[in-house]
Parts: sequence; C-alpha cells; structure tokens
Amino acid sequence: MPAPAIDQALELTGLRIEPPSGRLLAVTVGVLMLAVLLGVSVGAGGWNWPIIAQLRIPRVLAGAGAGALLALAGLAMQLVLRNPLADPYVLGASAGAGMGAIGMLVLFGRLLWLGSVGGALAALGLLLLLGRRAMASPDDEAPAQLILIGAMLSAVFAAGSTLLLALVPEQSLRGAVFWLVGDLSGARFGRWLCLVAIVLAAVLAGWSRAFDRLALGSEHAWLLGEPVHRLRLGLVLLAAVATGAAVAEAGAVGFVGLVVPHLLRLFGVVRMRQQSWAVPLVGAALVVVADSLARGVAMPYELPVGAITALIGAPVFMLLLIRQPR
Amino acid sequence: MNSLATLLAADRLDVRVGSRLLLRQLSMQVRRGERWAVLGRNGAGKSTLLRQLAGLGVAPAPVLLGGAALSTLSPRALAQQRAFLPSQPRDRFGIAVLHAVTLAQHRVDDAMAMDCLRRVDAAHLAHRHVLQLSAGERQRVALAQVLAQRTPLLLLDEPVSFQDPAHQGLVARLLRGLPQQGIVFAAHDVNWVAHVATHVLGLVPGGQWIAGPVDQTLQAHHLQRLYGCDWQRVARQDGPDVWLPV
Repeated sequence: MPAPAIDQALELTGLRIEPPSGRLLAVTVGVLMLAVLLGVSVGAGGWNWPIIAQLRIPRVLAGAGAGALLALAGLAMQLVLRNPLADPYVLGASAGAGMGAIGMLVLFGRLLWLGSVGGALAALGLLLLLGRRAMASPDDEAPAQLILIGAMLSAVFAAGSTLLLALVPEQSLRGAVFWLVGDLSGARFGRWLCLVAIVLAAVLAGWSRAFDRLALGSEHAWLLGEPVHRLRLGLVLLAAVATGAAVAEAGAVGFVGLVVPHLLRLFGVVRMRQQSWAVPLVGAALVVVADSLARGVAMPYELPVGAITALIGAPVFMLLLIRQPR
Repeated sequence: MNSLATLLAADRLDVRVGSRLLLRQLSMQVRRGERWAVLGRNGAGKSTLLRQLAGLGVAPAPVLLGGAALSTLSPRALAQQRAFLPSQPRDRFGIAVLHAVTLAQHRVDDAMAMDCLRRVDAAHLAHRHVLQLSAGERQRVALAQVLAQRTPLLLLDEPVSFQDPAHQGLVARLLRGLPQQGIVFAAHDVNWVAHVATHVLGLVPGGQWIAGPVDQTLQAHHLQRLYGCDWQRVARQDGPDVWLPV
C-alpha cells in the first residue's frame, strides 16, 4: 500500500501523534490573535482609532468569519466526498454560491445569502450526482476524477455568473472580481459570519465520534451502527451553509478549505474533536493575514484577498495532486 | 436445539449479483462456538454472501440475526449483533491505529482496545497511522477493530489473505479461542480451514451448496465438486492430515 502525500510529509516532520489539546488551543488562538493584530494595523492611515474602529475591525471580523467558514466547508466536503483534495472553490461550490447570489440580486434585489446557500447546495448536489461513480470506485484515480468534475462545474457556474453580470448592468451588483476571486473591501456582516462559524463548529464537535467513523468510510461507519445517510446529508448542508454565507459576504475566496485541514493534519490534527475548532481558528487567521497582505503590499492600491489565497493555495493543491499515489 | 444459542439463521436465501444467481435457497444456522468456513472458487459468491449476512445487500435477505429479521434491525442494533471484516480496508485519511480501534467500540476503552491489538500482534503499531501500515498489518488492525466491537457474531471476509504463515497460525489460534462467539469466514487455504473450522459451507458452481460439520464436508469428492480439480489427502504421523490439489 503506497503512503499518500500527507504521510510522506508526516515522515519528514515526525509530528504524527495527536498533539495535546491545550497546546494546540494555545498555538491556534495565538496565531489568530497575531493575525488580528496585523489586520487592524495594516493599511492606509496608520494607527488612527476612527479608521481602525470603523473600517479595519469590521473587515478583520469579516475575513475571520469567511476564513473559518470556508475552512469548515472544506473539512466537511473532504469527509463527504472521502477526498482529501476537496475544497468549496476547487469543486465549484463557491462558484455555485456566487451565481445563486447574483441570481437573487437580479430577481429580487435582496436575500443574497439565501441564493448563495441555495447555489452552493445545488452545486454540491450536482457534484454528488455526477461524481457518484467516481466515489463508489475503489480505484486510486477516483479522487482526481472527482476534482475534474468539480473543476468543470466551477467553470459552468463562473460562466453563468459572468453572463448574468454582463446582461444586467445594475448599480447594485458588485463586479466580477468580487464574485469570482473574492474581496473583503465591502464586507459589513462579519459578526454574523463569525456566529455562523461558531454554530457549525459546535455541530461538528457535537457529533465528532460519528464523523470520525465516517472518515473510515461510509460502509465501515454503517457497519459500526452510524446512520450514514443522515450524517452525510448533514455534512452537505453544513458545507453549503458555510460556503454560501462566506461567499455572500466575501466572494469566492479560494483554497482556504484545502490548505487549512491539510496543514493541521501535518501536525497530527486528524480527529474531529480537535479539527472542529482548530480548523476554523486557523482558517480565520489565514484569511485575515491574506487580507492584510492584500491591503499592505501595494499601498495605496488594494488587491482582492482571493488573489493572495490562490497564490498560496494553488501551488499547495498542485503539490498534493502530483504527490498522490498512483 | 437451544434457540438462544442460534446467532444467525438463513432461511431459503438466494444470493445474486445483478441477475446472476450465485446461491440458491441457502438454509443454515450458526450457533455460539461454531466456526463456519465458506469455501468456493473465485467469484462463487463468498464475499457477496458474507456482505448479505452483514446487512450490506441491496435486497432484504431472509436472515434472522439473534432472532430478529435482519431487514428490521437499525444500523445500531446490527452493530451490536455482528462485526464484519472487509476483504480489503481502504483508507483515505490518516488516523492513529489505536484511535481506529476505539472508533469500533460501543464505548471508548483504550485499555480494551490495546488488548485487542495485542491479541492480533499489532500492539507495536498502536501509535502509527493506518496509512503507513502494510496490507497484512492493516488487516490485523481491522481484525482488532472487529474484536473491539464485541459482537456475538463475526463475519470475516478472508481474514488471513495478507498474513504470513506465522500470523496465519496466530489468527487460527485467536479464532479457535472464541467459544462464546459464532464465526463465518471465507477462506481459500483448505488446510488452514481444516485447522480452524468446525463447519463448512461450500458454494458449488451453479447455485448449489454443501453445508455441515467439517468431518463430513471436507472430503475429496466434495472438494472436487467445489473446485473442479482432484484432491489428495496425505496422512502424517506427527500431525493432522494435509490436503493437496492434484
């Protein structure tokens, strides 16, 4: 049996035993605090309380919430699809959410998040439908096949969004950059994102043993007595809500859901009772840092945060794909 | 016959793959302390039968598990009646071996999980990741998971297919030392079966079957029907007889 990429990395780091929860909590919270400190300090205007309070804190909250949600969505999708490469951006859920949100804006002019969650759910449903043979197959090529299906779904939804944006030149619509790449410049509902992330993390923590059994394989989990269909449906809904909420607020920020669970697995965080809180904390830190870079590197210009996460995430994704066992 | 001791009862069970009938009207009972070997050629339906008995079949099967109809039992109730060893576990995520075993328990008990690992000679693997194991090691860890589930009925799909001779002997001793449990296992090595099984279920090509105690069923003419080749029984002075395909 060939050792997969994660495992080769584990051999290198030697950190394969589950870390003590206290230390993990201290490190992840510490990283998030540093990220927040960076987030509130970087930007035009320097240390100026009105700017920090009115512009930067809401933006940091939105980045943290979106990052936590996207990381949770990635974790949930990896479990449902039994594919360590799953990510809402890579597999088209973010693009589906974006198209759903634009559709709601065009049709009703409000309730974006509802369209966004619905769009993510539709994209995940299509992915499960089209990918069910790839998932049922014991073949080692199956993970890559599922990624291709997801990439095509993503292309279709992105094209749909572009068409909608081109056909409806409304003032209320944000631009293609926001929906297709992700941007935190207009974020206003960061508090709500953080709240949703906490609720979803609590759901994962509450059923952590059942989800760990699911990670052994659907059939195995069923043999051990788990109601597998309900668990998987729950994870799909969780991934859709997380993706939809994050995309409605921050656009299609990519690769957070891929990078964060992988990074933590390198340090032995493989059980849901630790993943459920460590993954959103690190996801939040990652997006806050990425957004600080986006605001800081080319001052006074701002880059979209999604460009930064893609610059980090896409090479990591390719590395994992290349090192997948044949 | 003590009905309480009957762990599994199949009543005129048909086993199919698609439209192909592999096994016609199978009726058998497995009681505590019995070890049933399922023999047959490749593709005869051994795995399919075991999966049906475990509840993994597509159609409801006329099978009683601990006295209740298989199709009426919830996943949770099933998990307390039977444990199933797959022919090849497929992992996508790394998890420590000890944790994988505790996940099979109804109640987490690290000491009991360690004991299960020790019984399959895998205690030294407890803190490795399942992805780092060889096929034989992974199979023994899967067997430890089955033991950790603490069910009266064990369904094992080729439990020693990846084991070296020493570990084949270990698993044989382990299975023989479970008098309170009923075991149904698929296997190919007739001599290993002769050492382990109390009963044999032979799947004859064409849907027929042979079932009974090992001394009545493990005979040259039955094996000839099962495998389509001739068999010779070689008597030894210092040990049990050895079966050789001719």
